[in-house]
Amino acid sequence: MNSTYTVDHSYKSQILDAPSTGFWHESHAEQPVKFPDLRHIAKVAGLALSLAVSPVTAIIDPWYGERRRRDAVVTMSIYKEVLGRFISRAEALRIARETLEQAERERLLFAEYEAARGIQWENHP
Amino acid sequence: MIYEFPDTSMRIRQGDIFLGLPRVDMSLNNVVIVSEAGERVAKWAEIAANGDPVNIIVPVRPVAAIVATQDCDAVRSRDITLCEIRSFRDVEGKSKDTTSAKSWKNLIIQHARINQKWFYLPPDDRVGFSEKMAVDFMVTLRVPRTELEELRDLRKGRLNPLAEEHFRERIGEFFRRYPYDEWYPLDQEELNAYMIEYPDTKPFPWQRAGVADGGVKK
Repeated sequence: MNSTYTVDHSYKSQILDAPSTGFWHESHAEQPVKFPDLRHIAKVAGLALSLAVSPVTAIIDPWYGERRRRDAVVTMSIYKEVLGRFISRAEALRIARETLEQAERERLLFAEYEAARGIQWENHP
Repeated sequence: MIYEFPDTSMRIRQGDIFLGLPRVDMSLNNVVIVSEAGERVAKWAEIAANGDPVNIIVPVRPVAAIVATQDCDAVRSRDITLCEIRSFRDVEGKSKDTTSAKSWKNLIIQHARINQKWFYLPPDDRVGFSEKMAVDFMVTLRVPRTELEELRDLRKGRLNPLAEEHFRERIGEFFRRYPYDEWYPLDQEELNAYMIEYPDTKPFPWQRAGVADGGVKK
Protein backbone atom coordinates (compact mmCIF):
# COMPACT_ATOMS: atom_id res chain seq x y z
CA MET A 1 0.00 0.00 0.00
CA ASN A 2 0.94 3.59 -0.28
CA SER A 3 3.32 4.68 2.44
CA THR A 4 3.85 8.28 1.44
CA TYR A 5 3.69 10.86 4.17
CA THR A 6 3.53 14.59 3.81
CA VAL A 7 5.71 16.44 6.26
CA ASP A 8 5.84 20.18 6.29
CA HIS A 9 9.41 20.99 7.21
CA SER A 10 9.08 24.69 6.73
CA TYR A 11 6.14 25.33 8.99
CA LYS A 12 6.52 28.44 11.08
CA SER A 13 3.54 29.93 12.79
CA GLN A 14 2.86 33.42 11.53
CA ILE A 15 0.27 34.10 14.20
CA LEU A 16 1.41 36.03 17.23
CA ASP A 17 0.56 34.62 20.62
CA ALA A 18 -2.71 35.94 21.97
CA PRO A 19 -2.27 38.37 24.83
CA SER A 20 -2.69 36.39 27.98
CA THR A 21 -4.89 37.48 30.83
CA GLY A 22 -2.82 35.78 33.43
CA PHE A 23 -0.01 33.45 34.08
CA TRP A 24 -0.08 30.26 31.99
CA HIS A 25 2.08 27.42 33.06
CA GLU A 26 3.09 25.69 29.80
CA SER A 27 6.10 23.72 30.87
CA HIS A 28 5.84 19.96 30.98
CA ALA A 29 7.68 19.48 34.23
CA GLU A 30 6.56 16.34 35.96
CA GLN A 31 4.33 16.63 38.94
CA PRO A 32 5.73 15.22 42.17
CA VAL A 33 4.71 11.63 42.77
CA LYS A 34 2.18 11.30 45.52
CA PHE A 35 1.67 8.28 47.68
CA PRO A 36 -1.65 6.62 46.60
CA ASP A 37 -4.58 7.54 48.78
CA LEU A 38 -6.32 4.30 49.89
CA ARG A 39 -9.65 6.03 50.40
CA HIS A 40 -9.58 7.37 46.85
CA ILE A 41 -8.74 3.92 45.45
CA ALA A 42 -11.65 2.34 47.32
CA LYS A 43 -14.01 5.03 45.97
CA VAL A 44 -12.98 4.41 42.38
CA ALA A 45 -13.20 0.63 42.78
CA GLY A 46 -16.71 0.97 44.18
CA LEU A 47 -17.81 3.14 41.31
CA ALA A 48 -16.39 0.70 38.78
CA LEU A 49 -18.13 -2.23 40.45
CA SER A 50 -21.48 -0.44 40.49
CA LEU A 51 -21.17 0.33 36.79
CA ALA A 52 -20.24 -3.24 35.96
CA VAL A 53 -23.28 -4.77 37.63
CA SER A 54 -25.79 -2.10 36.62
CA PRO A 55 -28.75 -3.29 34.49
CA VAL A 56 -28.51 -2.98 30.74
CA THR A 57 -30.25 0.14 29.51
CA ALA A 58 -33.21 -0.20 27.16
CA ILE A 59 -31.72 2.38 24.80
CA ILE A 60 -28.84 1.41 22.53
CA ASP A 61 -25.91 3.65 23.04
CA PRO A 62 -25.49 5.50 19.73
CA TRP A 63 -21.76 5.77 20.30
CA TYR A 64 -21.54 1.99 20.57
CA GLY A 65 -23.18 1.51 17.18
CA GLU A 66 -21.04 4.18 15.59
CA ARG A 67 -17.87 2.61 16.98
CA ARG A 68 -18.85 -0.80 15.60
CA ARG A 69 -19.52 0.73 12.20
CA ARG A 70 -16.14 2.42 12.20
CA ASP A 71 -14.44 -0.78 13.30
CA ALA A 72 -16.09 -2.59 10.38
CA VAL A 73 -14.80 0.02 7.95
CA VAL A 74 -11.30 -0.29 9.30
CA THR A 75 -11.48 -4.07 9.17
CA MET A 76 -12.73 -3.97 5.59
CA SER A 77 -9.95 -1.58 4.61
CA ILE A 78 -7.29 -3.86 6.03
CA TYR A 79 -8.93 -6.84 4.34
CA LYS A 80 -8.96 -5.07 1.00
CA GLU A 81 -5.27 -4.31 1.24
CA VAL A 82 -4.54 -7.96 0.64
CA LEU A 83 -5.53 -8.08 -3.01
CA GLY A 84 -5.16 -10.96 -5.41
CA ARG A 85 -3.22 -14.17 -5.01
CA PHE A 86 0.44 -14.40 -4.20
CA ILE A 87 2.73 -15.42 -7.04
CA SER A 88 6.44 -15.99 -7.45
CA ARG A 89 8.77 -13.36 -8.89
CA ALA A 90 9.27 -15.58 -11.94
CA GLU A 91 5.53 -15.74 -12.56
CA ALA A 92 5.25 -11.98 -12.13
CA LEU A 93 7.87 -11.43 -14.79
CA ARG A 94 6.21 -13.96 -17.07
CA ILE A 95 2.87 -12.14 -16.76
CA ALA A 96 4.57 -8.82 -17.55
CA ARG A 97 6.27 -10.25 -20.64
CA GLU A 98 3.03 -11.84 -21.86
CA THR A 99 1.19 -8.55 -21.36
CA LEU A 100 3.72 -6.80 -23.58
CA GLU A 101 3.63 -9.48 -26.27
CA GLN A 102 -0.17 -9.64 -26.25
CA ALA A 103 -0.44 -5.86 -26.62
CA GLU A 104 1.85 -5.87 -29.64
CA ARG A 105 0.09 -8.85 -31.18
CA GLU A 106 -3.31 -7.23 -30.77
CA ARG A 107 -2.11 -3.99 -32.37
CA LEU A 108 -1.10 -5.93 -35.45
CA LEU A 109 -4.45 -7.72 -35.52
CA PHE A 110 -6.24 -4.39 -35.30
CA ALA A 111 -4.17 -3.01 -38.17
CA GLU A 112 -5.08 -6.02 -40.30
CA TYR A 113 -8.76 -5.67 -39.41
CA GLU A 114 -8.68 -2.01 -40.38
CA ALA A 115 -6.82 -2.82 -43.58
CA ALA A 116 -9.56 -5.18 -44.65
CA ARG A 117 -12.12 -2.38 -44.40
CA GLY A 118 -12.69 0.67 -46.52
CA ILE A 119 -11.10 1.73 -49.75
CA GLN A 120 -8.31 -0.46 -51.05
CA TRP A 121 -6.03 2.38 -52.02
CA GLU A 122 -3.35 0.10 -53.34
CA ASN A 123 -5.60 -0.75 -56.26
CA HIS A 124 -6.81 2.78 -56.72
CA PRO A 125 -5.80 4.34 -60.05
CA MET B 1 13.88 14.22 -46.67
CA ILE B 2 11.36 15.92 -44.43
CA TYR B 3 13.48 16.20 -41.29
CA GLU B 4 15.58 18.81 -39.51
CA PHE B 5 18.22 18.09 -36.92
CA PRO B 6 18.08 20.50 -33.99
CA ASP B 7 20.98 20.51 -31.54
CA THR B 8 20.44 19.53 -27.94
CA SER B 9 20.18 23.14 -26.75
CA MET B 10 16.94 23.72 -28.65
CA ARG B 11 13.70 23.31 -26.72
CA ILE B 12 11.27 20.48 -27.29
CA ARG B 13 8.63 21.13 -29.93
CA GLN B 14 5.71 19.31 -31.51
CA GLY B 15 7.10 17.07 -34.24
CA ASP B 16 10.36 16.25 -32.43
CA ILE B 17 11.36 12.62 -32.95
CA PHE B 18 12.90 10.66 -30.11
CA LEU B 19 14.33 7.16 -30.16
CA GLY B 20 14.19 4.94 -27.07
CA LEU B 21 11.35 6.35 -25.00
CA PRO B 22 9.39 4.03 -22.70
CA ARG B 23 6.10 2.61 -23.89
CA VAL B 24 4.19 1.01 -21.03
CA ASP B 25 1.68 -1.77 -21.65
CA MET B 26 -0.56 -2.97 -18.90
CA SER B 27 -3.33 -5.50 -18.53
CA LEU B 28 -6.47 -4.79 -16.53
CA ASN B 29 -7.02 -8.51 -15.93
CA ASN B 30 -3.55 -9.35 -14.64
CA VAL B 31 -2.11 -6.57 -12.53
CA VAL B 32 1.06 -7.63 -10.70
CA ILE B 33 1.16 -5.83 -7.36
CA VAL B 34 4.46 -5.58 -5.50
CA SER B 35 4.77 -5.04 -1.77
CA GLU B 36 6.94 -6.01 1.15
CA ALA B 37 4.91 -9.21 1.39
CA GLY B 38 5.75 -10.26 -2.17
CA GLU B 39 4.16 -10.23 -5.60
CA ARG B 40 0.46 -10.74 -6.09
CA VAL B 41 -1.71 -10.80 -9.18
CA ALA B 42 -5.11 -9.14 -9.10
CA LYS B 43 -7.70 -7.63 -11.38
CA TRP B 44 -7.72 -3.88 -11.78
CA ALA B 45 -11.37 -3.81 -10.63
CA GLU B 46 -10.22 -4.95 -7.17
CA ILE B 47 -7.61 -2.21 -6.99
CA ALA B 48 -10.12 0.35 -8.18
CA ALA B 49 -12.64 -0.79 -5.55
CA ASN B 50 -9.96 -0.54 -2.88
CA GLY B 51 -9.26 3.00 -3.94
CA ASP B 52 -5.69 3.18 -2.68
CA PRO B 53 -2.59 3.57 -4.84
CA VAL B 54 -0.51 0.44 -5.31
CA ASN B 55 2.87 -0.36 -6.82
CA ILE B 56 2.72 -2.67 -9.80
CA ILE B 57 5.05 -4.33 -12.27
CA VAL B 58 4.46 -3.28 -15.87
CA PRO B 59 6.39 -4.21 -19.01
CA VAL B 60 8.16 -1.34 -20.74
CA ARG B 61 9.74 -1.29 -24.18
CA PRO B 62 11.93 1.50 -25.59
CA VAL B 63 10.26 2.79 -28.75
CA ALA B 64 10.54 5.64 -31.23
CA ALA B 65 8.04 8.42 -30.65
CA ILE B 66 7.10 11.88 -31.88
CA VAL B 67 6.01 14.80 -29.69
CA ALA B 68 2.28 15.38 -29.94
CA THR B 69 2.05 18.08 -27.28
CA GLN B 70 1.65 21.54 -28.75
CA ASP B 71 4.57 23.95 -28.48
CA CYS B 72 3.03 26.21 -25.86
CA ASP B 73 2.34 23.27 -23.54
CA ALA B 74 5.71 21.69 -24.31
CA VAL B 75 7.34 24.72 -22.67
CA ARG B 76 5.61 24.57 -19.31
CA SER B 77 3.36 21.57 -18.79
CA ARG B 78 4.30 18.83 -16.35
CA ASP B 79 4.12 16.09 -18.96
CA ILE B 80 4.85 15.68 -22.64
CA THR B 81 2.64 13.40 -24.70
CA LEU B 82 4.12 11.52 -27.64
CA CYS B 83 2.75 9.09 -30.22
CA GLU B 84 4.59 5.90 -31.01
CA ILE B 85 6.40 5.51 -34.33
CA ARG B 86 6.46 2.03 -35.82
CA SER B 87 7.14 0.37 -39.11
CA PHE B 88 4.65 1.57 -41.71
CA ARG B 89 3.82 -2.03 -42.56
CA ASP B 90 2.80 -2.69 -38.94
CA VAL B 91 0.67 0.43 -38.61
CA GLU B 92 -1.04 0.29 -42.01
CA GLY B 93 -2.01 -3.29 -42.71
CA LYS B 94 -2.85 -2.44 -46.33
CA SER B 95 0.87 -2.05 -47.04
CA LYS B 96 1.75 -5.56 -45.94
CA ASP B 97 2.34 -6.79 -49.48
CA THR B 98 2.99 -3.45 -51.18
CA THR B 99 6.06 -3.37 -53.40
CA SER B 100 5.53 -1.16 -56.46
CA ALA B 101 6.18 2.57 -56.35
CA LYS B 102 2.69 3.26 -57.72
CA SER B 103 1.03 1.29 -54.94
CA TRP B 104 3.20 2.98 -52.31
CA LYS B 105 2.30 6.34 -53.79
CA ASN B 106 -1.42 5.60 -53.50
CA LEU B 107 -1.04 4.53 -49.90
CA ILE B 108 1.23 7.36 -48.77
CA ILE B 109 -0.65 10.32 -50.21
CA GLN B 110 -4.03 9.19 -48.88
CA HIS B 111 -3.27 10.53 -45.41
CA ALA B 112 -3.52 14.05 -46.75
CA ARG B 113 -6.91 13.31 -48.27
CA ILE B 114 -8.74 11.27 -45.66
CA ASN B 115 -8.63 11.10 -41.91
CA GLN B 116 -6.18 8.34 -41.08
CA LYS B 117 -4.97 6.84 -37.84
CA TRP B 118 -1.37 7.33 -38.88
CA PHE B 119 1.09 9.85 -40.27
CA TYR B 120 3.70 8.74 -42.78
CA LEU B 121 7.41 9.20 -42.08
CA PRO B 122 9.84 8.41 -44.93
CA PRO B 123 13.08 6.54 -44.24
CA ASP B 124 16.17 8.57 -43.40
CA ASP B 125 19.31 7.10 -41.87
CA ARG B 126 20.16 10.34 -40.09
CA VAL B 127 16.98 10.14 -38.03
CA GLY B 128 17.40 6.39 -37.56
CA PHE B 129 14.66 5.17 -39.91
CA SER B 130 15.95 2.58 -42.33
CA GLU B 131 12.46 1.80 -43.67
CA LYS B 132 9.12 3.53 -44.16
CA MET B 133 7.65 4.43 -40.77
CA ALA B 134 4.37 5.78 -39.45
CA VAL B 135 3.18 7.66 -36.39
CA ASP B 136 0.44 5.59 -34.77
CA PHE B 137 -2.01 8.12 -33.31
CA MET B 138 -3.66 5.31 -31.35
CA VAL B 139 -0.61 4.66 -29.14
CA THR B 140 0.41 7.48 -26.85
CA LEU B 141 3.22 7.81 -24.31
CA ARG B 142 3.48 10.30 -21.47
CA VAL B 143 6.77 11.36 -19.91
CA PRO B 144 7.82 14.11 -17.49
CA ARG B 145 8.79 17.24 -19.44
CA THR B 146 11.82 18.31 -17.42
CA GLU B 147 13.27 14.80 -17.47
CA LEU B 148 12.71 14.53 -21.21
CA GLU B 149 14.54 17.82 -21.61
CA GLU B 150 17.52 16.22 -19.88
CA LEU B 151 17.37 13.41 -22.45
CA ARG B 152 17.45 15.62 -25.54
CA ASP B 153 20.32 13.57 -26.90
CA LEU B 154 17.67 10.92 -27.61
CA ARG B 155 16.07 13.39 -30.00
CA LYS B 156 17.19 12.31 -33.45
CA GLY B 157 15.31 14.80 -35.56
CA ARG B 158 12.35 17.05 -36.06
CA LEU B 159 9.76 17.44 -38.80
CA ASN B 160 10.59 20.31 -41.12
CA PRO B 161 8.10 23.22 -41.23
CA LEU B 162 6.05 21.83 -44.12
CA ALA B 163 5.83 18.31 -42.64
CA GLU B 164 5.06 19.80 -39.23
CA GLU B 165 2.12 21.73 -40.71
CA HIS B 166 0.70 18.48 -42.10
CA PHE B 167 1.39 16.61 -38.86
CA ARG B 168 -0.31 19.29 -36.79
CA GLU B 169 -3.43 19.12 -38.94
CA ARG B 170 -3.51 15.33 -39.11
CA ILE B 171 -3.20 14.79 -35.39
CA GLY B 172 -5.77 17.51 -34.74
CA GLU B 173 -8.16 15.86 -37.18
CA PHE B 174 -7.60 12.45 -35.65
CA PHE B 175 -8.56 13.58 -32.16
CA ARG B 176 -11.59 15.48 -33.30
CA ARG B 177 -13.09 12.60 -35.27
CA TYR B 178 -16.74 11.91 -34.65
CA PRO B 179 -18.40 8.51 -34.84
CA TYR B 180 -20.56 8.09 -37.87
CA ASP B 181 -22.38 5.37 -39.74
CA GLU B 182 -21.38 6.04 -43.27
CA TRP B 183 -24.21 4.02 -44.80
CA TYR B 184 -26.98 6.19 -43.35
CA PRO B 185 -27.82 8.07 -46.61
CA LEU B 186 -27.74 5.03 -48.93
CA ASP B 187 -30.94 3.98 -50.65
CA GLN B 188 -32.10 0.37 -50.65
CA GLU B 189 -30.15 -0.60 -53.72
CA GLU B 190 -26.95 1.12 -52.59
CA LEU B 191 -27.32 -0.37 -49.12
CA ASN B 192 -27.61 -3.86 -50.56
CA ALA B 193 -24.36 -3.32 -52.43
CA TYR B 194 -22.75 -1.95 -49.25
CA MET B 195 -23.86 -4.93 -47.20
CA ILE B 196 -22.16 -7.35 -49.55
CA GLU B 197 -18.89 -5.82 -48.33
CA TYR B 198 -20.02 -5.19 -44.74
CA PRO B 199 -22.61 -7.84 -43.86
CA ASP B 200 -22.83 -6.77 -40.19
CA THR B 201 -24.38 -3.43 -41.16
CA LYS B 202 -27.66 -2.63 -39.43
CA PRO B 203 -29.97 -0.57 -41.67
CA PHE B 204 -31.57 2.57 -40.24
CA PRO B 205 -35.37 2.66 -39.95
CA TRP B 206 -35.70 4.65 -43.17
CA GLN B 207 -33.63 2.06 -45.01
CA ARG B 208 -35.88 -0.89 -44.29
CA ALA B 209 -38.12 -2.23 -47.02
CA GLY B 210 -41.52 -0.54 -47.19
CA VAL B 211 -40.43 2.53 -45.26
CA ALA B 212 -40.73 5.93 -46.88
CA ASP B 213 -38.59 8.98 -46.19
CA GLY B 214 -38.66 10.13 -42.58
CA GLY B 215 -39.20 6.63 -41.24
CA VAL B 216 -42.96 6.64 -41.85
CA LYS B 217 -44.35 3.40 -43.25
CA LYS B 218 -46.06 3.64 -46.56
